[in-house]
Amino acid sequence: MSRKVRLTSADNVTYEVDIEVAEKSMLLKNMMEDIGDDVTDVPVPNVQANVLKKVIEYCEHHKNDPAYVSSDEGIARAKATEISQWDQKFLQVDQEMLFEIILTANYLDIRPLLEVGCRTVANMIKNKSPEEIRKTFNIENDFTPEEEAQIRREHEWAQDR
Amino acid sequence: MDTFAALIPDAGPVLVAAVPTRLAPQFNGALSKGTQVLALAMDYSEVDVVLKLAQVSRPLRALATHENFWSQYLDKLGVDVSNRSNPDILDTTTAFNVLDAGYYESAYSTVLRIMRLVGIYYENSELITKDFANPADQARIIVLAKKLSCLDEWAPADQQRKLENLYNTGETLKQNALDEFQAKVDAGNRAGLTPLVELLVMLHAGDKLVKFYLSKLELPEPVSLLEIDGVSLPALERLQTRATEVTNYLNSKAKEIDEIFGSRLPVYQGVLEKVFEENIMMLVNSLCQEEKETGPEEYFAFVPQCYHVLNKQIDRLEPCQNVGGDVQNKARKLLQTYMEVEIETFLDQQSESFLELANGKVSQWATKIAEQEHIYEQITLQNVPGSQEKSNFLRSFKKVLMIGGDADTKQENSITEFETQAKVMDSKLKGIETLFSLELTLSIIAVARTAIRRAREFANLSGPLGQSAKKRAEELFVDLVGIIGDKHIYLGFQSALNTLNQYDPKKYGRLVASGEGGDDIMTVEPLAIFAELVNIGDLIQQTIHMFFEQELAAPKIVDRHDFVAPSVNTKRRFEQMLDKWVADGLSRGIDVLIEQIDFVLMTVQLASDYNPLPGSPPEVGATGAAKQVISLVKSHVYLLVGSTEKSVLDVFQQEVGLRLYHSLCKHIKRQTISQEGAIRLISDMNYYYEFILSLRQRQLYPYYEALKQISQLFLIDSADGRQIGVAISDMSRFKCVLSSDELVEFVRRRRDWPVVKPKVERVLYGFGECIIS
Repeated sequence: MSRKVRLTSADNVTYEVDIEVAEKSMLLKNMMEDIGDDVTDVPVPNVQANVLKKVIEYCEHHKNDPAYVSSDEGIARAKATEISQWDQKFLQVDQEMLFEIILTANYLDIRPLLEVGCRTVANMIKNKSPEEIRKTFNIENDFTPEEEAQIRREHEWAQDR
Repeated sequence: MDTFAALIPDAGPVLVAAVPTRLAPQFNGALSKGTQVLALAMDYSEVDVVLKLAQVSRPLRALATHENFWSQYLDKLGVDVSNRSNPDILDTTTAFNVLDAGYYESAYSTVLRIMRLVGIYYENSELITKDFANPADQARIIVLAKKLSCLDEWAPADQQRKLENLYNTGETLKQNALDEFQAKVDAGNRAGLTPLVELLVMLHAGDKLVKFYLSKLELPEPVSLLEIDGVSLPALERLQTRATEVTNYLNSKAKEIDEIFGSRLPVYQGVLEKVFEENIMMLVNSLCQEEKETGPEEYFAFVPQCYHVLNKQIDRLEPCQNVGGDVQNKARKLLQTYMEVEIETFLDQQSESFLELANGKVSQWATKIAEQEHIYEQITLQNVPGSQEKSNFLRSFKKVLMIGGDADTKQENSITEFETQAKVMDSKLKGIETLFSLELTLSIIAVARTAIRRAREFANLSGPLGQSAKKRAEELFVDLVGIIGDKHIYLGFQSALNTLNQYDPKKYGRLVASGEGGDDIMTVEPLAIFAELVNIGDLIQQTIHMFFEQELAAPKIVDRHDFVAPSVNTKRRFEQMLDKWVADGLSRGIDVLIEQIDFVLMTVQLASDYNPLPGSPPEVGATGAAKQVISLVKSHVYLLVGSTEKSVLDVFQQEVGLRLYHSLCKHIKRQTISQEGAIRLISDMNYYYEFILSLRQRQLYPYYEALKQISQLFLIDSADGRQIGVAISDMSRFKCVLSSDELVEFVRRRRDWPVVKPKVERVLYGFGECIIS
């Protein structure tokens, strides 16, 4: 029988999970190791319950995956593979939730989740123009006209093909 | 809960570390969620997406053009960042040299420049054939464009698709080039082949090209090599002719290959292998088969010659740049590899054949001899050759067998000469022939030498084959010594020893007795024959030694000091065996000789010799018995001169001399000797003494001087009986070899002993006369 820990969200909802599930987060794993064996309650103060629940769902599903390969060069050397069907389906959420999942994965340091999240975002913007990207991600165009001109010059060659 | 408070990162309203640390600090904490998410996504996006993000907003541009981010791609592209390109030469940068042009302004602009010049072909391979007319340029661009696939690491499907497009473009290019190469080769047009080779090498189609070129080679048909103009010449001649042609062919190909391929592709090695496999070896194999069918000897002769001929042809191979190194060495290695099985077969079969042949010859001979009954009865004295003829013969035997490593023809001439002489001598050596055949031995040695020399042809080859050849050569020697020594010579010595053991002097007494007239023919034939055998055995031993030195030690097949080497061991064992047989034979020979002497003394010495009837006319000089004994001894003690070691000879002569002395003592003690007869006894003893002096065996002198002194004792007048006693009391007079008791035994043989006895004893013991008187 696996050891259980209880994760409490920022809005005070508690989820009981196997320790292996919690340990998918490097942040939580390191923390629990620092505290010791008898730890049973772990607060996750920056994450809302609905997001935490989603992240736990991901970790439950990937509980038995081999540890994420992270060498000194980390991401740069990691080899991309196709995103699995389960992950694709898991990430079919509204944009707000997708962002939250990515930011939480980054905060809790769950590399595989961060990777699939980011690649989903990359796929979203692949065929969008910069203006469309701004719209989708709610970003203000803060370039000066001079900067705009330079950017155009830089990318002229790409327009030609 | 409190324990955790300290551990939890201070998050604030926006989660920490959402933006990579490379982001300029001024942006930290003030970024929208969308920007943070895109900033994170950048690390997991293909370059195309990152370039797009650089056009979205100032914070994202700062991230997307960051030096650290692009440095990793410069690394992957193999751009030398320490090589800063001068902006002035920017105009000269092209798709071909941009990857070597180094770093330009920033990592970001350097990658951008590469994408602008080469990336367009990576993205769209159709542009390659549009933008470049020259196939070589197309190939170069394909190679360069492939390197850019690292930019798509985060988009594996895109990456796969683009690489496939490039590959297909390359395949088309490759096929066109191969077709063109083929068309030119088919048309015999060598011009313009080199650029095609370069192109195909660039496209990694080198192996295909080499295969194609080799498949187009027109080697001389191996079957047509077997006959020349319909005439079947000797195998070696055909090999010589055809191998010369093949060598010429290879030399012309070497030139062509250097011209077309240079050292870009390894082609010549393949040509060599093909020529060996499909031409030379087919020829060699069928010629070997042909020789095998003719006979084993022909086959054994052919293999080393064949190897030799091919090696000589390899010496003629001209250098070829393409092979990158020593062409002849490579060809030699191939020759060894391809002929290995044939050479091993040859070595095996030759050794087997030698054993079979030599054993067969020896057994055949032994059977023939065994069938001849009463061998010794057939031998007459005149069958033993005169010493002069014998030594001539033996000298020539020695000469032939010890011939050095000269050319084979000279060797064979000498053997033929020798064989002629051997036949002449044959009839004069009947006695020996029944024990041992020189001709047989010679022929076996000749076969062994030929076989060893053939095996030696391969002794210098590298690896196990050379070792195997050396081993075979050594084994042949071991077998040779085994057959000659253990079987043939052993049989001769056994037979001679048996004859000596069964020798009965009485049976041959008549023969000896009839020989009184001449000294030279006084011989115990078995001993004479045995001595011959010792002569020949010694000669064979020397021959084997020389053979070993010349055929194995000098060519460094065997280290003569390596006492565990089978050949060294066998040779030593053979020498020891021979020594033992000689010792056994001589020991028995001496017995036989002495038995014969005793027989002569008993049968020829007349009672009247030393005790003449009163009034008979006085005789002078040695008696017939003494003459015959000396004749007998003389003819034997010289038998071994020159054929065995001086020390063995000395022992033999000393032993004979000593045993003769004892026989004479016994003989004298059996006689009755009168004062008149003493004259002849003295003559005889002088006669023996003279002979002993002639042997120059100093140890024997005292015995025979003593005998002379003994004979003097019988001359003393009966009246001077006391004188006798005085004489035999003086030990020094008899060289201390006899005691006075023994001397008394001699003087007892005086006819007047009863008269002189008291006088003698009175001197000796100081009484006797007293008792009597």
